[in-house]
Amino acid sequence: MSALAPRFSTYNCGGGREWLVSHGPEDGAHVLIVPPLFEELNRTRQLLAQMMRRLAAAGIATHLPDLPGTAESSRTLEDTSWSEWREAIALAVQAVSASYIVSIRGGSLLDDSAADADVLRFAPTEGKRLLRDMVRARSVTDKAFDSTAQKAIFDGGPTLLGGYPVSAAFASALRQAEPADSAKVQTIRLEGDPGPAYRHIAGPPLWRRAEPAGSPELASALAQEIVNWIG
Amino acid sequence: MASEGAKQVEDTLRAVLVDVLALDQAQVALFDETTPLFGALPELDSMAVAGLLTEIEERLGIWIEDDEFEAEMLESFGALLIFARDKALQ
Repeated sequence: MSALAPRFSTYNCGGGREWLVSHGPEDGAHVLIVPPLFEELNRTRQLLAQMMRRLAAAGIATHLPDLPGTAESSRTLEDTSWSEWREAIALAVQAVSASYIVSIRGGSLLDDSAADADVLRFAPTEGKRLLRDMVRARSVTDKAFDSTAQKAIFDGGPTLLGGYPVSAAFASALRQAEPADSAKVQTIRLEGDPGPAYRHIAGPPLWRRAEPAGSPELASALAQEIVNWIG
Repeated sequence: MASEGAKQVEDTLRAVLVDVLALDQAQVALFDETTPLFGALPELDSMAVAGLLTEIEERLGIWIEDDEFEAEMLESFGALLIFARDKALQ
């Protein structure tokens, strides 16, 4: 079997089965990728795939899970809670026996649910900023999405945000979510990002681009950071 | 003469335009206060506005309220610069 061929498997969460895609060798270091959330994931899929292939070539196995209620999940997001997303990451870590987690953007809000794994965060952000961006993305193109409709995100709903029906409880939990402090976490950011980080790398914030695109340079830089971090 | 802070905001805005809209760095370096943005740059359509504003917020460490945002802000590079400086340097 080619080392470049992705493998598909499932993990169980909340009575449902969710998909995982894996790249790289069966032995060696196993890394669970906790990806960006909602629309930011669509915009970074190519980057993730490029990064995972580079890591596979370096002998590191990576696993990218679907979160409950997204992608190929048998459930809808409307019936999924924020705490189930956090639980899903802990279950996915177990399912693939990962010792390492690499979390990206909003994925960093979920990465502390598997307490034993070492975590590398890339460009982490707060839930309120993610929510803000999704609300703004809809309000600039949908005039009916006015202040009353926006208020209903938290006490009515579900509201269509980032392509998904988001319940009021889910939106409220996301708004409160922040990356958790931990001694097991290292953070890297893009140059120009003023947040705290131990390393900065060059590259475009692809999660902001309306036209999805990859970046071989950023994928290589990220993969190299991960290789160095695992050591 | 612009203060160091004002220059920093300007540099940040240029970098955000390059990074979010995938514009050419040399093109953006030539932008002056009268350079039109929304309606003049094909890359800056309504789908791109949210990402642009949110990235400006994150890089400048500011928070733009909905009622502070007006379409006129994106009419020219100068208008965006005035708004960003007001928010970031207050």
